[in-house]
Amino acid sequence: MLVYILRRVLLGLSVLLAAIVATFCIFFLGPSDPAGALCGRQCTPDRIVQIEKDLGLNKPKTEQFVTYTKGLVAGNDLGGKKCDAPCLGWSYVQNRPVTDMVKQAFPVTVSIVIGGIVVYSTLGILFGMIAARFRGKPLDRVIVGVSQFVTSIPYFVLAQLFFLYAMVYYGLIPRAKYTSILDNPFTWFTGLLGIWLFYGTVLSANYVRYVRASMIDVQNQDYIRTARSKGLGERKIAISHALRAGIAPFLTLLGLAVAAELGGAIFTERIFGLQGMGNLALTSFDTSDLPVIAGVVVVGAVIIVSLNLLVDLLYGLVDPRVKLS
Amino acid sequence: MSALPATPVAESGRERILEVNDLQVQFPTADGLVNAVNGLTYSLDMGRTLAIVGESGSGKSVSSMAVMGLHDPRRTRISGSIVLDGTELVGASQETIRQLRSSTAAMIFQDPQSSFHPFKKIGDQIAEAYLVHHKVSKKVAMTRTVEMLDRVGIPNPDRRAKQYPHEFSGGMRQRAMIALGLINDPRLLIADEPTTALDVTVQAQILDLLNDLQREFGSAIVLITHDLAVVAEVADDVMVMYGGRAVEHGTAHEVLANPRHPYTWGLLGSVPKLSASGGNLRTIRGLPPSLINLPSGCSFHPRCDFSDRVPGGLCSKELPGLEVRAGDTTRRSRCHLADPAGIFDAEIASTLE
Amino acid sequence: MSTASTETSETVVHPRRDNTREPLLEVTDLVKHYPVKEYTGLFPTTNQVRAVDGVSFDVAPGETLGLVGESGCGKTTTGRLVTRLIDPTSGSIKFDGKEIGQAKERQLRSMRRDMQLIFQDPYQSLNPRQTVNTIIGTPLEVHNLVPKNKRKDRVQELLELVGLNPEHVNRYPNEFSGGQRQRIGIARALAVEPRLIVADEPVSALDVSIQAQVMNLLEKLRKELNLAFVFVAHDLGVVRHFCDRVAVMYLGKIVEIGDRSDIYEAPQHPYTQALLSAAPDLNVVRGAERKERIRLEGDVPSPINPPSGCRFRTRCWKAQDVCAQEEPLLEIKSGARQGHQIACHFPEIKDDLATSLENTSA
Repeated sequence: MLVYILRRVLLGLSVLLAAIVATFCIFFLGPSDPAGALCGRQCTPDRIVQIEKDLGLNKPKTEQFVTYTKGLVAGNDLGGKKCDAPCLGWSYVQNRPVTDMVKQAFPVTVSIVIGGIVVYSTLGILFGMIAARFRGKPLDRVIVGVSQFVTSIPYFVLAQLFFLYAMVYYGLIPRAKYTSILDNPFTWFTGLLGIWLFYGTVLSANYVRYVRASMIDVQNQDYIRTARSKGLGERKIAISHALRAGIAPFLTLLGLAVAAELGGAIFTERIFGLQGMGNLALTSFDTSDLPVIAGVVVVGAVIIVSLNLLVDLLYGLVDPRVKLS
Repeated sequence: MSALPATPVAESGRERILEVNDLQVQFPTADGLVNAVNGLTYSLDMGRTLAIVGESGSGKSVSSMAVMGLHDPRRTRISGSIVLDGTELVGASQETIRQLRSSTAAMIFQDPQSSFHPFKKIGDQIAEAYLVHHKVSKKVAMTRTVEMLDRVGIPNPDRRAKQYPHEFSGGMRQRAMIALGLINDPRLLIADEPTTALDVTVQAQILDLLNDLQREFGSAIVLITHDLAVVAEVADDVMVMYGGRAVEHGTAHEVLANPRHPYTWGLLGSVPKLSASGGNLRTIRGLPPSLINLPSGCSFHPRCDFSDRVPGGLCSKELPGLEVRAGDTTRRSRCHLADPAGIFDAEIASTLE
Repeated sequence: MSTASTETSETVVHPRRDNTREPLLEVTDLVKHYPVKEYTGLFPTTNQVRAVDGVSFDVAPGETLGLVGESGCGKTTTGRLVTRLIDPTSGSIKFDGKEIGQAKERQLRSMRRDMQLIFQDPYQSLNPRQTVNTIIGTPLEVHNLVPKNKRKDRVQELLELVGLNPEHVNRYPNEFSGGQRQRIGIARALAVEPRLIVADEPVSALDVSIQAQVMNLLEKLRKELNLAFVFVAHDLGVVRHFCDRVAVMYLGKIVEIGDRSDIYEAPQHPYTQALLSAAPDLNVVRGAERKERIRLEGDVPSPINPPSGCRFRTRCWKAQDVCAQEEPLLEIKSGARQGHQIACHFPEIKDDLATSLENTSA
């Protein structure tokens, strides 16, 4: 098991490295003019040269990359501006380290995503199991029908409607508000609960039918028949035998879908007005604040890789065979 | 059927463990009602091995699954009677049947690969069956499990019990399956094609093991198989099934060496012998019957080479009963032919060697 | 119980006995290693599965060679290599005198007409979206054998040949039973008038009565069309019934090869003997008795790390030190007839393993 974890961590790190290289190439090899953007309206050529020198933009690209990567690990000194590790660069627009900005936004996004995963895993598995149990019955049809309906509407439309009706017009659910879990765990929980329930419920619709199919498939497996022939009760079979096998493919799907769900989190932040990484990225797009966008992408990659790692480890716990292949 | 004594004792003096009477199993499907078993009657005594032989769709597996109560009651219609160790199973509550599974009747399945839960340790899966029927600690159940694994010939049973199914070879997995089947010391063991998925040298090991264990535990065994050669090696009694009915039922020697039913003749002729080479095989023409639309009269008559010897087209009109015929003492057969023994001796026997 | 019956039961004179014969298929030192990645350590390591590890045999026109052995012995891989469905790692395959072992796909075209495959699974080897007419007609078209307007007639002729109703030419595979599908597969193989058919477990997925029908069909076709067969099977009875010559494989190697009567009535390799002894026999119930019961212990070793020397030694009751050090060559041993080769350091004839009624009643 230890070797398996180590191997997965190594794999995750290599993916991360590739993501950093790709990000650097996309953002800093392209035809961009960060110095111009930073210089502002009253700009003189001298000043541009000065800024480029400060930011190291006059150096060869390979050297810039080394500096960038070194910054991530050990921190940098960007023309007198101290940037502590992990240094994600310097925001031209706000004139402060990108890391500071990300540091504020990161917990917001992670809170939304983790809470969402908890909600949609629970709901997806629960309703999937219920639908499988009552296959062909009205309850099954209702669950499948609702999940189909929900998945057929774009997420941002649903989010807008929810925001407008549930939060603004009727005030059924208090507006979302983020407080750090470290400051006050209770308000952190209550402030985000509405978001989690909404985000989680909508995403769970994707999984309900999947879990249902998986559970039905498991019901027909030979080992379920074996369990029955041992004299086990139906409840024991459902929980200890069927569920464990039915969940395995769901975990795989969970790992694959993390990136897409991060996208959902961006909409969520934007629409519900939470200052997470999604909003940070969108604001930076408006101001062409390249280092910030790049920083968000790198940190996003970190989130995806870590969640995938988590899913892999969970999978390893569920299915003993994966350690070998 | 008159009232049965609580534990009927057969003529041989052995205790009767299973009594199946006029069993019918039907599956309603979109295409129509599938008549999988159509009036099956047989019984089995302790210490005997009954082989149920037939091709796919003959009802051999379906009827035995019914004995274990493994058909989904929502998708199956069962009628008739199955008395297992004195308890009537048809119409019994799920709880009654659950109590009997593994403790009175246990089942070994064809594919040991898919019949174990892939995510659970072999030992835990076997101990689980013991724990359902015994109020003991997990530790006691595990000790018993390791003993059983040792008994079925698995080396290092302590270590093996902690391994997962994928760490076992096919033969070892089937041994573990047998250990699971025997953990509660059942009086009836149903083995559904237990060696079909195995290689021939492993098959021989498993058949030997089943033989040994029966001698040791004295349980009754129902062996479901399509392989007549396996039957010849291990069975005391043989029941040949066709289209959901028994067509011939007797001792292994009666049925395999002196068969009386044309379908049995065809089956025997179809098997390429290990000890004879070349030449054409005696086959059965045509295809197995549709279970949705069984032929009228004797279901075998459209494929039978001898139905023209029965006067009046009786074969297509009337279903012959499964009865002890003239010249037989214990064997029952289901055929209108007046003198099947004569036909077999004159025309069939020589082609089978 | 003498070996006298050996001589009498063989009436057919095999091409093998004829020293001037030209083999249709000649396989020499055929090797197939598959790389597999193993993830036990921190980094994956690549191992070689030695599926087929130096196999040589030949098949004369009109002859049938049976490849028998247990799962993982390499018999199926050998069949696929011969037809070049997969590429050999090394070794030579000569078909009709032409080397095809390393030939490119384009050069194989003409060979593909002469050599056809029949698969095990009649359900998966036919395209469910094609009619029987298309399935059987496509090879006719590819090899341009029959003018277009005659194609359907030829397909119907082929259907009749394999015992199917020619009127069913426009049906789809799912409208046929398993045995009938296998007949379609056979008709497809026969369409191009091949000289050699590689049949991979062609009857093992079929019910007993249907299996016999298909066996009889193959037997009839073989005689009528003078087809040569490489017949891959695990059922010793089926192989004895159908094959002139038999090669017994174990862990990627041939351990014994010879005429049918050599293998079944005078086997010399311990593994062949164990196989025969393990196979259940219907005649037991009629009073035939076996002289000896040989039961192998344990499982087949991994083809990634096969045992040194003789690969069977880990399960062999005769094994001595030399078996671990020296690999026995496949060669004619004392007491063996011409064409009967055994790869064993301690061969010994056992003639009473496949029980026979004549033997017991005599």
